This record gives sequence, structure tokens and C-alpha cells, in this order.
Amino acid sequence: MLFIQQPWKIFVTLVFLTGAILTFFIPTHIFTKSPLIKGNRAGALETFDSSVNFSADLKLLLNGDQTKKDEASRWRAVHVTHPESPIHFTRYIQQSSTLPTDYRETVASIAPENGWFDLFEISYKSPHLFEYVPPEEDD
Amino acid sequence: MEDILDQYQIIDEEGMKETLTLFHTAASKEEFTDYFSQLQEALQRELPEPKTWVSIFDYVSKVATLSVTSEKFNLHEFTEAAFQYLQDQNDRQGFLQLAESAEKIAYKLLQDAHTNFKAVVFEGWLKSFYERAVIGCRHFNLPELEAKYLGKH
Repeated sequence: MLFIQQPWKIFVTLVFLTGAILTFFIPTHIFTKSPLIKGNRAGALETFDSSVNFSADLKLLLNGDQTKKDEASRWRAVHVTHPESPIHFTRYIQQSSTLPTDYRETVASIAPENGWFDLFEISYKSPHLFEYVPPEEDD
Repeated sequence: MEDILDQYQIIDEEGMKETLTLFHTAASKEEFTDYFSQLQEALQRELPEPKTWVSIFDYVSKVATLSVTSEKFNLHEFTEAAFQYLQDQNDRQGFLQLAESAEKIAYKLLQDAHTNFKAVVFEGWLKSFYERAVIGCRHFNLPELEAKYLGKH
């Protein structure tokens, strides 16, 4: 009766239950072992509608250098244009399949006190350090 | 509890040691900015047209997901593997150091989580961390630390 009189409470209840399920009941393994969400490299980001009149800076921020063929080059070009910008650098390294050879030097230059870059380097190296051993299935 | 833990085979021991050092270096820092918020702010500041908001949401979601996929899942496995490695090596001091660094980093990243999805991922990491830490405490006979971690996971 209460829900019928105040239907917004249904929505609030659904949101709460969804959050509770996500927080308490979904096993961590779903996140950590899924092949869909592992690895350093994300897929290519779709480009924005070029018919919209964006400023040149914003186009660069949104789409990278669209004259380049592959994702890493597209975002590396932006980093090279703005070498002082950690934002553009993070975009570049997240789209690249390898760490730049001057990674540590660049980080020391643009964000020496930011531990995120150390963690990113670890995340990049860790797949080469060990292998996950799947549990043996019970008979 | 041991039965449910994931197991890892170390294939580069020197690399593992170097990366552990890097992990402690990260833990010594206070800032863990992944620039997601700055990117989001830049987009929202410069994209006023309502019809583009769906695109902004879509784009920012992708960047957030990208950020999560890039460091958190591998870090999760790294800390698990590192705990196992140090325990196998019977390296008590290394275990204590890793526990301290991992706790600091995990909490810092949890505080900085931009989305519920990220927060859930970090909470999963913390839960795994405490499970590993409790087992390590038993292995190295650290009852006081074990009690602390038992109360948290």
C-alpha cells in the first residue's frame, strides 16, 4: 500500500537492493578472473561526432590525433604535443600495448610524487612475473 | 581457508623482487591520482550541449572502466602472488613489509574510487588481502597481527 501511494520508494528500494547485491554477494572471482576484464589494454575508444563544433583542444582531448592509424600512435601524438600533461600521458599509456622506454623518466618529470604510475608499471609487469594456477576440479 | 586461495607459479623471481621494491615505493607516496576526475571535469566544462551528455557519460564510463582494468585487477593478483611468494620463501620481514604497503595502497585507492564499480573492485581486493594476511600471520606466528586482520575481513 505504501509503495502504491509513493512509487518512488520502489525505485529507491531497487537501487538499494542492487547495491547490496553488488557489494556483498558477487564473488570477487567474477571480477578478477574474467578474461573480459583482465589485461592492461582497453579497446579503442569511439570517436566523438565530428559534426559538433568542438574547439581544437577539446577535439584532441576527446579523440586524440585522428591522422594516426593505431590507438597508441593516436594518443602518443597528443602526449608529445603536451608533454607536461599527466592526463594525456595516462591516456597514451593506457592505450598502448607496451610501456614507453622512457616511462620512468617521463613520470619523474611530470608526476614524481604520484604512486599511481608505480602501480601502473607493476600492473604491466605482473603478468610476466607469475602464472595463475587454476584449481583442480573435484571428481 | 587455504583450500579456497588461488595459487600462483612464480616464473621470474628477480622481477618479482624488483616489483616488490616498486610496490613499496608506491606505498611511500601519498598521491594516487589516475586523472579520471580531471578528465571528467575537462569534458563537462567544455561540453555544454545537452545532446552530447549521453556521449560524455558513455565516454567517461569507458575511461573509468579502462582505468579499472588497467591497474586494479593485475594489482589484485600481484599482491596475492607476492604474499604466496614471501610465505614460500619464509621471508617474515618481507611479509610484514608487504602487508603494511598493501594495506596503505588498498585503502588509498578505495578512498579515491570514483565509481561504485571501482569501490567494489577495491573492496574485493581488501577482502583478498586480509585473507592472505591472516594465513601469513599464522605461518609466521604473528597472533596479534592475525587478530587485527581477522577483525577486518
